[in-house]
Amino acid sequence: MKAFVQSPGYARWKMVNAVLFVLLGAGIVFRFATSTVALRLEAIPGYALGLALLALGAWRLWPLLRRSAT
Amino acid sequence: MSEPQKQEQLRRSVTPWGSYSWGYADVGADIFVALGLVFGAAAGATNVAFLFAGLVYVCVGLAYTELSAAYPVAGGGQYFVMRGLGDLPGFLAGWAVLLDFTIDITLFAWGTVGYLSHLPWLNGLAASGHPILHFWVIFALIAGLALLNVRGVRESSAFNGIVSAFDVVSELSILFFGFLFAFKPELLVHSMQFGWPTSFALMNGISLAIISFVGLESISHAAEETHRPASIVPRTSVALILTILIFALAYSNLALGMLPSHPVPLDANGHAQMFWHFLGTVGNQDKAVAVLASNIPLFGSLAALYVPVLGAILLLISSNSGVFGSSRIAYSMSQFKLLPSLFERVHKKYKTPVISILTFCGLAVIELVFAAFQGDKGYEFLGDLYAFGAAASYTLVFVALIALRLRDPLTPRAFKIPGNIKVRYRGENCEIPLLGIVGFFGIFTILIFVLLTHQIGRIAGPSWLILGFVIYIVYRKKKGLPVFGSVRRDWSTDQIKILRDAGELELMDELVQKLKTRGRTPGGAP
Repeated sequence: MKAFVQSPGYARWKMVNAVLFVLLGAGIVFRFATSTVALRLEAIPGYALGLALLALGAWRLWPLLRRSAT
Repeated sequence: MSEPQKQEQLRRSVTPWGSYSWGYADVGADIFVALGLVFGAAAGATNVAFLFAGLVYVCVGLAYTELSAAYPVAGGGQYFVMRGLGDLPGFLAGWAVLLDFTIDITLFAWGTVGYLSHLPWLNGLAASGHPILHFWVIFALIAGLALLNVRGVRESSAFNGIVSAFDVVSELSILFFGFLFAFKPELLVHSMQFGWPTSFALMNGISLAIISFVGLESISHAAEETHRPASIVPRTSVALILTILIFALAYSNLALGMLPSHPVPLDANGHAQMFWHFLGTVGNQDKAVAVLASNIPLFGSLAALYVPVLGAILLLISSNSGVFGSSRIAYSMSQFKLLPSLFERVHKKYKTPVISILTFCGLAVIELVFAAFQGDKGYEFLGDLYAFGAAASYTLVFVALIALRLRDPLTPRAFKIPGNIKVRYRGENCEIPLLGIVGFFGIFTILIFVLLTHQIGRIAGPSWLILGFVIYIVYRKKKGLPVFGSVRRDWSTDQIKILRDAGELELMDELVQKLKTRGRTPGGAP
């Protein structure tokens, strides 16, 4: 397990997860924004969830992208 | 059985991933248990219940992160409260955590059987079908875990890591395919309007939602076995807190706006029901995530095969951590003279705290018997007690966080809860954590909700604390120790030793330097 955590495979796995978070978050926000209930108060939990997913994905993705750029 | 002996140093070999997966295996399993219970109570406002409890949980998680990085010892909440507030509050916090750990053993063993019963060839294990068989299977699981722990076999860090990795991918897949193929925002809004509960039911739902965020003690357990915890614990804890929060919010929103791939069966009265209502019924409460996953179009047929197994494994690991955690907390409390030294005794051959293990597994079985007598409400009964223990101990941890900021400002904190106000206290510069105060009021509100809405929890929970208090008084009087006061301890010297053992030599030097400039020599009075 320790070897796996230090391997490039683990970094790739983290990146795939982070991309999935971003896609899922963006998808949820898009679905709500384009629905007929886009401006209803009850849609707030949906937007909150989508934005939280986007934030978590970006937070995980950013250091990986920065490391691969350098 | 051998007499109490000096505690051996735990090997610090937990990696950042190990630290994350340790917490994930504990806290990540909670949503498998909580989802159905919260739907049963909060109905169309389940996502709001999870959001409220989740925001409080973020504050609790940040408090545990700060305290575990500053004081990386396995005692967790009990140690923080004892150090910040004294022996009696420390005992009460530890005793509330012990209630949670024993409930954890039973509740998660119950959940394990519930998830397995979702498999077509194990339908007979369902509580609603064969309650006696259901009882004996859970009893056998608890007995098996007790035996394994007496023998010293614990889930290995590697196994935790593999199961956690698989579960993160699996949960992400469920959400990804669920939101892609079955989710309708309009249905979510309709469900919230149509199924909005009464204020009483919403309070009940919020108090149950907190159980999807229980297990933060594992952060401090992992901290004691992590090399340089001050730098690793904050990194892994923040990721853990966010992941768990997002999963809880995502599941509740998905279920409220989901069009299932199979027709929803009629309710007990023969009426049509919404899918989220179906998830909260007694027959599905203990396997809600598996029911949800198996109703996702296309992906559902695959999920129906593996999600119950994965859920059962994760819940069994969590149940085992209840056995392991309760014996460890009792051992720690015993060392600080909060509980009789009986709990420090280890097995001659296996060197495990056999008395603690058997005592708390015995209590778990008693709780199982009580739950079995509740019939259909057995699972909810366990959830009630679990919520009480968590809310009570977390409330004390927030008070301890604020008290330690004032009483122990010299201990270096590698991570601090954001949002602080600088104050002068006893000639020292201190910081009051605003988010800690917000978190305190949040968790205290949840504790009030538990007491108001849980008929059994409001009697059994406080009764547990009173029982513990009586044991504490008898023990402390017998030993000639103060009941309301505290045993005098040299915390500065202890802290230096803790930091040295953790490999945090820079922080240790910083503390020693601060003590010297104030004319206090380590080893002297605190």
